[in-house]
Amino acid sequence: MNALISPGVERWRQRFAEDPLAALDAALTGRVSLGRYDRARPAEALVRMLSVEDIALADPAMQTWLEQRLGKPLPKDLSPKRYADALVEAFRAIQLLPLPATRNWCAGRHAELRAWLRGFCLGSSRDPEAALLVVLAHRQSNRQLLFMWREVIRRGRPVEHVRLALMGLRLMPADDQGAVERGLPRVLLRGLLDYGETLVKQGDKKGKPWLEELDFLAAVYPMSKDIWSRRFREVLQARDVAKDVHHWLDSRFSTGQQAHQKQPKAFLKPPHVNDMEPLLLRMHKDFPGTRPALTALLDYHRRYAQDSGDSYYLVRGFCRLGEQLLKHDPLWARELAHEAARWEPSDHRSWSLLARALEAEGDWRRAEAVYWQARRRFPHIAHSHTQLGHALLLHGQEALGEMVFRQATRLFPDNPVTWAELGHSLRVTGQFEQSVNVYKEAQQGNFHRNPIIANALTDALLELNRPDDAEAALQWAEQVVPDDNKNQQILAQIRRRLELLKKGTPSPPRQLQAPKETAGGDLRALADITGIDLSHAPLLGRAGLWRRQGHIEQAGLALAALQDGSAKLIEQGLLLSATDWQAAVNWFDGCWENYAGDGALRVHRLRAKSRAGETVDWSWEKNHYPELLPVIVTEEQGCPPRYQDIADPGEEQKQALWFNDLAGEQKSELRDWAEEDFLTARQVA
Amino acid sequence: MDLNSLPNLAKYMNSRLADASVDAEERSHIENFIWDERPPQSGLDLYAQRLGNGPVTDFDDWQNRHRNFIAEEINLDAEETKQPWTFRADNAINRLRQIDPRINLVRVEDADWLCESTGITPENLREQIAKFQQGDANANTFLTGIVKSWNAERDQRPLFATTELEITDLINDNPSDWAEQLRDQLGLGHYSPEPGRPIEIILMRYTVQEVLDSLDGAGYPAMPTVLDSGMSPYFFPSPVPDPQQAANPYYGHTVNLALAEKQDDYTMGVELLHPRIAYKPEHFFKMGVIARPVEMPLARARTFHLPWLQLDSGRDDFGGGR
Repeated sequence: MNALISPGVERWRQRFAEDPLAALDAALTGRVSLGRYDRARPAEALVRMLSVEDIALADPAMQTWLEQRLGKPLPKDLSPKRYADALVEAFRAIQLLPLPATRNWCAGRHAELRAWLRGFCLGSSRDPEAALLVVLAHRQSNRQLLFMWREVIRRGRPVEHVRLALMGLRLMPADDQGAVERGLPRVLLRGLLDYGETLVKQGDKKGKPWLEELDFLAAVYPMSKDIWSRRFREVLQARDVAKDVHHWLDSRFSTGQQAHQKQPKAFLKPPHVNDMEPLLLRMHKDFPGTRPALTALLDYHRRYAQDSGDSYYLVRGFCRLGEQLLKHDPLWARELAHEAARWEPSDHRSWSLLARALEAEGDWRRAEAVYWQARRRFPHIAHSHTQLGHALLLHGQEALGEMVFRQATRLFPDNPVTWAELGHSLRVTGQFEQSVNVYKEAQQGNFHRNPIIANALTDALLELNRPDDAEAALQWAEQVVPDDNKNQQILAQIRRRLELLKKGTPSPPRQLQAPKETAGGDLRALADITGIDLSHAPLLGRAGLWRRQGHIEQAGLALAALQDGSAKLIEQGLLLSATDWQAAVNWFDGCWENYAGDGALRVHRLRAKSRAGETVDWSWEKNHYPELLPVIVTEEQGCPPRYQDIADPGEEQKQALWFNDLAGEQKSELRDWAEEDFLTARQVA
Repeated sequence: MDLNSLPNLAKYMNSRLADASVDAEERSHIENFIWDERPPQSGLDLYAQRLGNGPVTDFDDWQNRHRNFIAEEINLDAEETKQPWTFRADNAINRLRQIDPRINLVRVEDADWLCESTGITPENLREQIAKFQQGDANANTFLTGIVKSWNAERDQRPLFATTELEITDLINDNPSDWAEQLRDQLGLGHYSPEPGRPIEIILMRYTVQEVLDSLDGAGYPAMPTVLDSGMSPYFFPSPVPDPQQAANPYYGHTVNLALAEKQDDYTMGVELLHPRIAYKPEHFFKMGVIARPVEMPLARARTFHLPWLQLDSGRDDFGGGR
């Protein structure tokens, strides 16, 4: 105990003895005097004020403090800056004090915490997520956070987070038993290379920040240039990187292949795609008998990914197998999809598989949420729209499904599948005339020679019992359909149906079979890949859909049922904007500070101001949210920015390219949709 | 300070000062606000705005409101375009424009979070600083990586520093407890550890010129006032000196926390505030450990401090003429 008594410290200690949670809250939020430690940061003050006995009480109190706030907006009695400070101090305290229970809780809820904390970041000095990453990087007892570090690195920004993720890889144990890593971790090198690839995708040609990280690591792990070169060569042997990253690397260490170099025995070789194929063939004949071999192969994928930090093969392998398992074992397919999404959350195929696997299991509640979430996260992927529409159709939400398809044809006017699916949805709901109109519109538009549209039109005319029109359509289909087995078989079926119709025995129209719907699983089990409560996704999705169709009242009702969150605030603002931009401005002005660090919310607010005729200063948003620049620039300049060609674009770049195509169109409605969808995608990524 | 513009605070202060049970810390804060002559009216107006309406109910309430001012006007993120109030034109009167740009300034930093947030140990950092000072290029790269991370998370809050001139003897003599002596001399009462839980510190050293350059040549240091940082009972405002008598008005005076029994044994330290600079590897000067808690009672230190301050500034009337 300090020889001198500090009255402020004594008062706080007394308060802590009576109510640790309240005392902790008061200290973190700066609502009390901490006596002699008033000028110290609250976390440092806590380190100095708490005795060993106190710390045992502080641990559960700190966990409760976070639990009570997780997922909630800014408290009413604190400013955004004060709250950001309090959150930063909380994680600093967790790091500086021995609070093992809270630390473990953070590790278990990292995705939710990160998604939530992002809403309160007000610059790199007020970045609670960064402080959390410091906590997570230290005292890792296994390799369970490898997924997360890789994801942070692959985002590539902010660079401070990338640095912390590299630190996380550096401090990660050598195995899941917590063995201390004594060497240069292979996952660290893979992480560094991934960061380089991300920079290349973002258009960086010189790689300055990458070289700075490399130089720092070279100083942290003093080794000769030869050894460094060899270590990198070993990693590159497993999977190569972009040419630019090679150039950057070669400016420090030579990585040219040397003759007779072998992969060290300690390292697992990357799995080969051919390893899976024979097993898949066998599986269809003998599923139980193939299962052990498949399990062993998946385990190898896992071990390789854990060892190397390279998930490329795992994600592709798991999705490939998962697709085949949908019929045999949807639960297994779901587990594989979940695992793949954990490794690479930006890969839409894993999400698609996950939704379909859940649906195949009969877990419609969760499947529906994932379908909607995939639509929100991957608006640039037409399949995320059509599979949602299809699922809604199957599960008795025909009107919504049709709306999804109709909007998809607007968002992807060049994609025949969206038109075909819209027509199909009309057919199966008995709207045959409308479906014919859709197919004809498609044919007269971009798909004059498209075999899918040609076949579908013929089919629809058959269902309308119009043999003459069907025959004419068939003749056209025969001209445009490729001369391959599969397509010719489809044509043959259509011909048969036409013959039957001519004979007066038309085939019955196709009808949807209602899928099974059993009790749903826990949506929280998916929080590790979403970071948010997915139960909101369907209502949010429906609200947006209805709003765009002009069903304002229905949209409002959907939102009213939702819990508060920045996505709800945005949708409420957009709902108001449908009739009055000034009302939207007033709304956003009144609520944006609830999540003052949420880039999408901030941009929506400024966008509303701009639309309402106010002069807007975008500079803060431009600096802090470079990932939202396409929308900001479009709002500011009236047209989207131009991007240079990128050989291998990532998810963010693909979205930007899609956005540019759509927002560059003169139709203002499409531009609005593109902006909304783009901001949502960046918000939930 | 003219408290007319802070009527709610004035009312609270007056009621507390009339209460004999008010403790030394709270009394220090109240005295600091009453005695500080330096904040210009515009600063007080801004403070009043951040303090908000309604009576100040107790000391915690005041602290809480003071922190609103600090969060919004002082501890600004590096990317905020406005400067902390300390370095705005409003506070020009308290800027030190005649300071020699060639002299070195020294600042004490807490090493714990820096090491945790960069994944290194204090021993590792100490070793790398030593190597760097011997010209090791690898250590330069290492420290460059460290300051890059550190700078990124540092905000724009005004930095307390002292002059190297003031602590040369202590640094050169290098006694085993130099870090604790320095803590005492600079009045850093918040660096008072519990026994067995020492605090690692880093001394950062840089020139005044680098400080000036941080704001395009205009980053003049400032005299600290009660509005420039979070409240500290160890802070003591410096008077506006009598121009006829003051020896050197161009720095603030720290409350020395070295244990002293008599007023004659007491000496004031030197402090000033300057704008944030981006640290560089060459700024790492020295690392040390503070293990001994502060031993000097606050009230005694302040009682010893005031007469010296009055003498130094030629202002017998300062501090209520005590």
